[in-house]
Formats: sequence, structure tokens, C-alpha cells
Amino acid sequence: MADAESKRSKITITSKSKKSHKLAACATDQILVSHPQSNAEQPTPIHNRARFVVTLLGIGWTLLAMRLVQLQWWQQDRFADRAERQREYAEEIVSRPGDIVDRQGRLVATTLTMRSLYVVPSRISKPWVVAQSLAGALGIDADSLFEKIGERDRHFLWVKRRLTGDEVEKVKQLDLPKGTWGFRDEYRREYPQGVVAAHVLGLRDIDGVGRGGIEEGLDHLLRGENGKRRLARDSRGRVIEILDDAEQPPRAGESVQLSLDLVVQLFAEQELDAVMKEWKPESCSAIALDPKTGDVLAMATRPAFDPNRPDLASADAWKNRAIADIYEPGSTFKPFLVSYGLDQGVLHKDDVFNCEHGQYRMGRRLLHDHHPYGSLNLTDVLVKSSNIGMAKIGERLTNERLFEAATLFGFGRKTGIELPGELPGILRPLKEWTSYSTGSIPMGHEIATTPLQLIAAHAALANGGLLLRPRIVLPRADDSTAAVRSITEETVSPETARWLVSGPMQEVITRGTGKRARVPGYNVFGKTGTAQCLSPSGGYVHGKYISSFVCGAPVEDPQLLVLVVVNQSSVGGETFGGKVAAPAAASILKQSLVYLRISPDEHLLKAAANWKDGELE
Amino acid sequence: MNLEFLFAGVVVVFFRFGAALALVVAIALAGTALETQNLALKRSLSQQQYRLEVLVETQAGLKLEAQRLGTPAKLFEAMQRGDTALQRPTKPQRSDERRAPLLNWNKDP
Repeated sequence: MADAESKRSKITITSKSKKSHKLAACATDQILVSHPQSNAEQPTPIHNRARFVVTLLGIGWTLLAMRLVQLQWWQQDRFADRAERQREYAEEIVSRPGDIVDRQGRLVATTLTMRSLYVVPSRISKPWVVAQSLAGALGIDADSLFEKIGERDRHFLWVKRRLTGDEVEKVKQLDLPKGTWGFRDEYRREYPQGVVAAHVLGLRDIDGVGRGGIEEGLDHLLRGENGKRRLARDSRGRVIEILDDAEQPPRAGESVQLSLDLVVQLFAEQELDAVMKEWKPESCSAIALDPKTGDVLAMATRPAFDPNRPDLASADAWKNRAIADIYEPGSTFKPFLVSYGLDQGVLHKDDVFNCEHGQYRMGRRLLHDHHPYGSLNLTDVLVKSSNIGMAKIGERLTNERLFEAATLFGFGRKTGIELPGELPGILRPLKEWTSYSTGSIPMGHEIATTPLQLIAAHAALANGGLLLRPRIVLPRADDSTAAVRSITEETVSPETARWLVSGPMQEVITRGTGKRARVPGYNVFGKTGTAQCLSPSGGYVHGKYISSFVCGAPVEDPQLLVLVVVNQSSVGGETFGGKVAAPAAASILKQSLVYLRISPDEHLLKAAANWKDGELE
Repeated sequence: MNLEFLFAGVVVVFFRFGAALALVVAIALAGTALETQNLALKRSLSQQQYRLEVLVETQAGLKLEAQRLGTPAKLFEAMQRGDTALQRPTKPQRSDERRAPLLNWNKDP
């Protein structure tokens, strides 16, 4: 056995030593000399080394095998996920926001795809050259762009978003180095009607988020739902494949149809522009409403802004004053208390009130009328807008009933229109009312309302006593919640409401404070209002008035209501509602009645022609 | 005898191998054809999707332009300047409800 081994070793060593015979001989000698000394119990150095190498190799292979098992068995999912993440990434596909149209289908807001330009500063070797070229093509400041591009650690920088077609072409012609720039598609909201109905619409900011108006209030409908797709990319990050197995397509936003009619809206906006020019108030607003359905046909505010150019808007232009400005309604509040008193049997149509010839002491307070009146019947108290007459009505009703009346007609709570930012107005709790309130509330003081609340309450009188929730969005055919949202409340009986509209409120126009609101061919009803301006620090601002006028037509079957509120006219002294707001409201009403094809009364038209010929003027 | 037997065996082996190879090649070719067809369909779908997007975008642009040109504000201005023969009526010419079917062409009647 040992001989055989020595022979095998000799042969092996000898065969490996063909190139150097001497060395082979020497080696053979060594082995031959050393071999006889070796046996099973005493391993030779070469055996030890071989074993050592084999052991090392064995351990190495075992470790490798264990690592392989670890990678392929225990950590398989983790590494598979990591590899997948490196190879794939999910890209969000932004959904296209829905359009907004008016009740006739006219487009008021839509969306276009535009290109936005970005650069990769970390890959730009000559920042100044790139900045200069881009600034020239896009009309932006080269120095500030250079400053941003010069930050070499940045990997992404928007240069300009939503470029025009011309700008895109100019950038393409610059022939900038590849890999340093690119375009991304983004949506841009367009408002083709410009400033018209801007406060109702609101706008979408540069990131596509609705801000104000319908854009914010119905953002959940308009926005749609973003999609997602998985892309496979190579080691350099270039997209090599769109993996469509788990694609989630975007869902475009729904279109929204407003109750607004842009033509009526335009009438309102034009009249407000005229009011701003003539009376130079701080602000003004107008609302046109269908009293039968509660549809808002127009809602306008001045000052306004162009949603296409929000950067040019002044700070006071953002507020939708039709829903977010509160003021004391003044005399426009009086009909509600009278109707409630009649309905409750506390007042009667033939009641007569002594108006004390213009001065009446009520507790510690001395009340005045603008004109000294003697005895006035209930109709005349409203027609002449006598504060003393109303204070006496207040005494008869008492605070409890006054509070009930105000609550019944929706004051002190939001109307629930689909616009964000609506204020509830101010109706203090009954326990805070004093004897002072008994005189103030019937004059429309100590209570604050938004223009929308006021016109909604007047709509209740015009439609026979039903307080409707005003709406600015028309319900879709499949909207099951529409009926719930248009819920109504009964305020006063149809007879009472009818009497008030066709009696005192019509006479306000024919012989009262609203004569300037006569419209040829139509029987118009209305009510003027003038109130002192509330100070933010409490009390009133001396010499500052809020003039308002609400009117509707035709008396026989009211189809349209218009309210104009003018805040703090700076010309004309004590600016009465019948003087400042009534002509504008009447003009909106007249134009809208013709536009809405509401037939005039031919007899009234003829009478108006005679009247114009000089019978009365 | 042995030679013949060996030859027959080789033929059988070659036949079997050839058949297996042919089968594999046929399956591979069929797979390639299917993949090609799949890719062609994918490309076609992508192109259609792209065309649809382009059409939607074009439609949006044209609709916007048409609406911009026909805004009530523009028409009123033109009427006030006397640029058009249209005049604002002083009383309603018709008594039926105002509708704008051309603006609602995409809705059910």
C-alpha cells in the first residue's frame, strides 16, 4: 500500500517536472528520501497542506451554498422586490378635469394640455449659455434662471410651466444638449368667459387644485381620478417598456352644469360695472334667482378678477361677496316680520299705526323716520318704510316672535348652496336680545345677513311661502340626492305671501321708495334697504351706508328676483337703496325678463308708453 | 447484422431527435408569431390611444376657440359698437322656453 503510494507520487512529481530534469530529480530524491519515513499516523506536510486547502475550499463552497440558499430561499421575496423596484416604477397619470358649463351649455371652464419645460442642472456643463438661450426664448430673467441652473446638485428644475405653442417651438429650435432638458405635459384650466362669473367658478392653481368657487366646492367631481401605469427601465433609467398588466387608467373628471345663465350673468356684471363707475363704492354684488326652483341665474361681485390671469387680481377681488359678506339688511327685512305677524294673527291687513310724526321714544331710545308720518296703515308702513311703524309692529310681535320669524326665513344659518366659504350671517341667541332689540330688529338692524340669504328669503314670499335652498349646480339626471338637497320649508301661508307681494311690495315700486325700479310692460314688486355700515370693531361707521334693493316680476306669477347690494358708495351722501341700487336691479330685471321670454302685459306696455310721453314725468 | 442493427438504431435516434427538434422549433416559431402578433396589437392599441388623445385635445382646443369667439360679452360688445346687424329686442319675440340645442349637441334630446 505504501509502495503503491510512493510510486504514484514519484510518477506524479516526475511527470510534472518534464521541463527541468534536475529539479525533478531533486524532488524525486526528496520524496524518495522522505517517503519511507511517512506512515498513516504521521501525516507529511504535503498532506497537511492538501487537507488544509481542501478544508478551506470545502468551507468556502459550503458558505457559498449557504449564501445561495439564503438568497434564493429565505430572502428571495425581499431581493425580488428590490430588483423589481429598481427595474420598475409607477408613473401617475393625471386625470383630465371636467368642464363647467352654464344652464344653456355654454362653456365656462375647460382644460387643455400644455407643455412645461424642465432642465437637469446637474447635467448642464455651460449654465450661463443655457440660461441665456432659454431666457431669450421664453422672455424670462436670465440672471435668476442662471442662479437656479448653477446649483449643480439639483437634478430637476422647472423653467416655465404651461408654455404656449410658440414658446415650445422656440425652445425646440435652441438645440440644447440632449439629456439636459425636456417637456412634460400638464393640464391648464381655461376660462373662455374671462371675468364673467369668476367668483362662482373660482380657479385651479398651477398644481391643478381647485381654489374657491365651484372649482373648490365640487373638486371631488371635477378632478376625476388619477391613473397609474408601471414602466420598466434599464440600468440608466431609460424607459424600455410600459408594463400594462396592472395599468389603472385615469378617470376623467365629470362635467358640471351650473344653474347660471351667462347672458343674465352678463347683465348683472355690466350693471355692477356701471354702479362702480357712478357711485364708486368699495364693493357691490348682485344676484338673480328663479323663485320657483331656487336656481341662481346670476351671481356677480365687484371688484372681480380674471381667473385666466390670477396674478393680476387685487387683494380685495377674491371674495365672493354674495355669500361671504354680511351686512344689516335694513328695510329689506321688514316684509318678513309683517308676513309672519299676519300669519300668526298678531297683525291684520287693515291695522293702522301712529307714526308719531317722525319721532317716537321707545324706552331710553328716540326713534326717527326720514319723513314725519302721522297714521299709516300696514301697507303704507312698508311702502314708506317707516321705522317707527315697524318698531310698533315689533312691540306687538315681541322678541320671541321676531326671533321665530327670522329663524323661519332662514336667517342665522347657511343656505347650503354648493359654494365654499358661505357665511351663516348673524342672528344672536334670543337670550341676548333686549328691549332695544324689539325696536332694532324690525328695522333690519342687530341682524346680519348675506345677500344670498336675503334673496332666498324673498324668494319664499314670491313663490307662495316656500323657503327653497338656492342652488347653483343643476342636478344630473342620475343624481338620487337631488330631491333631498332641494328640500323646502314652509314659512307663511300662500295667501299671506301673495298679499304681501301684490300689495305692499308692488306699491313700493308704484308709489313708494322704489319708483326707479319700474319696468315697462311688467308689474314689479320690490323693497329698498339702507343700513349703516358695521364696523369691525363694533358699532357703526359714521356716514357709510349699504344700499340694497330687491325686486321681482311679474307680480302675477313671479319668475325672477334680483337683488343688488352696494357697499359704501363714496359719492352722493346718504345713498338710499332706492337711489343707488334700484336702477341697477331694475335694469338687470328688465333685460333678463326680455331675454327669458317672459311675456309683458300689453296694456302695461301701452301705459308705460303714455307715461313716457309725459303724463307723469 | 450488427451493423444493420446499429444503422437502424442511429436512424431511429436521429429521427426521434429530429422530430423533437422540429417540435421545439415549431413551438418556438409559433410562440414568436404569437408574440409578434401581440406586439402588433399592442402597438395598434397604443396608436389608437394616442390618436384618441390627440382628437380629444383637438376637440377641446376647437371647442374653446369656438366658445371664446361666441361669448355673450363679445356679441354684446359687437352689438353696442354696431359691428353687427343684430339688435337687442325691447320685448320678447317668442314665448317658448329659451333653449340652445347647438350648445347641447352631445346630450340626449
